[in-house]
Amino acid sequence: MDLADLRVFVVEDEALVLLTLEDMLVDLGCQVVVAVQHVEEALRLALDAKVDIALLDVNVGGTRIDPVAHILATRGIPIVFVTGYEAASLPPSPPGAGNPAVRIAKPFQSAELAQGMVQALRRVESPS
Amino acid sequence: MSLAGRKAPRAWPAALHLLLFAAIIAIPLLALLGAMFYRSAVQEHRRLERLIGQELAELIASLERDIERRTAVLQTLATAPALEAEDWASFHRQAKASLGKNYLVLTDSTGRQLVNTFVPHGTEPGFTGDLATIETMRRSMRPVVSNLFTSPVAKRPVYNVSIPIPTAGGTGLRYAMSLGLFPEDLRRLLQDQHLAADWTTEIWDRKGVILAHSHEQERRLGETVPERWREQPLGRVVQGRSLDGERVLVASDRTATGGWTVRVSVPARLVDATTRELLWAWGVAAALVTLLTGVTAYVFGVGFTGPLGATARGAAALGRGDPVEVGDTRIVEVNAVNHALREAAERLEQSRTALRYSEQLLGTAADVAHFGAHQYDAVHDRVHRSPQIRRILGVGPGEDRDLESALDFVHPDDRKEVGLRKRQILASEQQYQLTYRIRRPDGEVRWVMDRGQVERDAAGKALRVVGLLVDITDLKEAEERQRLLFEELNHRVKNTLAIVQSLAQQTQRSKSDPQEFTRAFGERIMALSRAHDLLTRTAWRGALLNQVVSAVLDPFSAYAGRIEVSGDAVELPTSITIALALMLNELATNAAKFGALSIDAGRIEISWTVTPMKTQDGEGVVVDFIWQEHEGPPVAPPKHRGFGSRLLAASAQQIKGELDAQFAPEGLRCRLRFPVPARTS
Repeated sequence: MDLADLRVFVVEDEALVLLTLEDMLVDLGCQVVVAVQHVEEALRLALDAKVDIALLDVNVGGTRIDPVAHILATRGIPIVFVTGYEAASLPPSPPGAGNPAVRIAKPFQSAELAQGMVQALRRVESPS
Repeated sequence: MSLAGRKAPRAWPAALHLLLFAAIIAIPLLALLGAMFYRSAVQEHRRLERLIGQELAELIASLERDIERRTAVLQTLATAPALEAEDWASFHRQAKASLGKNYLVLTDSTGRQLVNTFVPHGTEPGFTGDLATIETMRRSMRPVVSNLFTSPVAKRPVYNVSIPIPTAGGTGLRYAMSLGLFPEDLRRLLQDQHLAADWTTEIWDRKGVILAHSHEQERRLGETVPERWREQPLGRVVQGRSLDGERVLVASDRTATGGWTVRVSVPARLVDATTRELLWAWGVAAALVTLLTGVTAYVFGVGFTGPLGATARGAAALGRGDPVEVGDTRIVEVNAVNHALREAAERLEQSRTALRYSEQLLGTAADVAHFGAHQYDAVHDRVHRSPQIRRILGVGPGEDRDLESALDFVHPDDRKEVGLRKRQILASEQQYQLTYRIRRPDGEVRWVMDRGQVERDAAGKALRVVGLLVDITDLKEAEERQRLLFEELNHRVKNTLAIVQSLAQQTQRSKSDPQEFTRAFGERIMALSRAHDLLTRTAWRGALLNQVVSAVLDPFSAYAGRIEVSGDAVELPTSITIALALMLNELATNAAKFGALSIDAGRIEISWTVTPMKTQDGEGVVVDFIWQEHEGPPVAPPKHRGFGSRLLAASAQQIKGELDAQFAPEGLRCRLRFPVPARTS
């Protein structure tokens, strides 16, 4: 699947990780439309942002991403969760959204990122 | 052997026992003594009786001898020829000469007086006054002793001893010859016995008329004795009364000749006196013995009851658990008991001390370890809680409750499960261990571990559950903290790895030369490492801003004289520390490569201010940080956004700061204003 020109919504608080993520996405041909480092900012933008996929850090500087994930999932936007916790629980899927979570763990390579994004996109297209 | 069923014997005081003991000895002794005294008295009595008997016999014999003598005199005179010749004047003369004060009377068979020596011959009265004798002699032809009669001649009371003088043929009475005698002679006879003054002797004639009386001759002569005297048995000592009414011992007997009665009497008071003396003696002895017995029994009784009472009190004290204070007594057995009591008390005290000690130990251990014991009586459905458990549960003292209500202390969320488990355990399990939450009356929630054992009877029915409740809240909280710590650690490690990865990728982007890459990457890693070191020193709680600056500038020590640092102390949390460290490292590295540090004249001024700020979490501060480069080479804003500026921008965002980078001709001016929230943890 081609990830080119996908508009991406990124939430990641660690500056360096964000930079690397942005670079990876750019290398994959995506467009980083939103790149925020705090949940409050993400919340403001989640309702209206015109994006095709979201990359969300689960624990954003101590705050969980759940509300943002909820909004995006309800909008039908595929989500890839980026986590540092092995055991950390992912935000639950909102009822009816039919959008089970995809997760990749830090640190990750570009290939893993791409794989995760493809997985997420596929799930949204054919939720079974 | 059980003592429970036996009826208790009646108990008497020791003194009473001793009294009984003394009485058992004393009474037979006293009885014996009494018997001896009685025998004595009886013997005395008998002795007297014998004496009386003896005297009587002697008197009788004496009287009979006297009568015999008189008869003999008469017999002698009866042979006088004058009598044969009937020469009365001569006979008169002869008779009078041979007799003393006594007189002779000779009568014929009719009683006509032929001779009477009391009067001159020829003046004899016609007839004798004592016809009875003549009558008797005529019949029996034997000597006769008369009763008392008044002699017409002597004109006083007299008596006769008479013999018959038979006729020639020997068949009839020819003459009767009598010797006239005076009662005074009899009296002399009595007195010749030389009896003691108390003894009274009498002689009566056949009519019971008193002829002689040892004491009162004149008074008693001629008196007739009372009828009852004459009825008294002969030859035996009996009790009677004297003429004066006195009680006497008396014996009487009759002479063979004449049939007179001799009576000997002794006042009973003589015997009485002896008897009374003996009685007194016995009485005194009895009293003394009784007194002695009583006193000794009492004294010895007290000698027993005193020590025994002390022993009893000691035993009672032992039973109560009080100290036992019983000394030694004079009784070996009591001492043995006392000794045993003292030992028992000592052992009891020792074991109590040990018990107290172990209880204290247990109590202290329980308090220190926050555990408490509890018991459940399955038979009566009663839960018993120790004081330590009550402390854990946060309840005050109270009554034992049943299992259902005792589960109230379990947290509502765990209550159903715990109740179920407990019932299962009761039904069939032996040992158990449960972990659950409790909720105290004040609302506080604690974690407890409940471990215990079920005791069952032979049939397998639960009797008792004995258990221990340990407050493991601290443990749980520590577990939780540890878990969070691990998660935190994991997160950091992952994050750090991600950062390192990013650093590698970013460095790689701009430094294609492997050597350059290695150097630049190495430097950045070192900066990160130093930031970590800083944080490790404070256990990852944060660091002071000036420490962060120092750490970052450490590899740039060569330029130390050209860098000025100033600013108030301010504590930065972990996240800001790392971000800031990376930012400053970029600035410093750039300064060394292209900026103020790249030429000798250049210098850097680092300064910041700290301003208090109210946040929703409390009092935070705002740090206004300025990186000012001076006299460096001319700089211009870069054409491309390099890694450094991207990093600075993103890092500033990360710490919610405002970044203002000015590339002025005199040098780079970087201003960063960022909040430091109030420390919440």
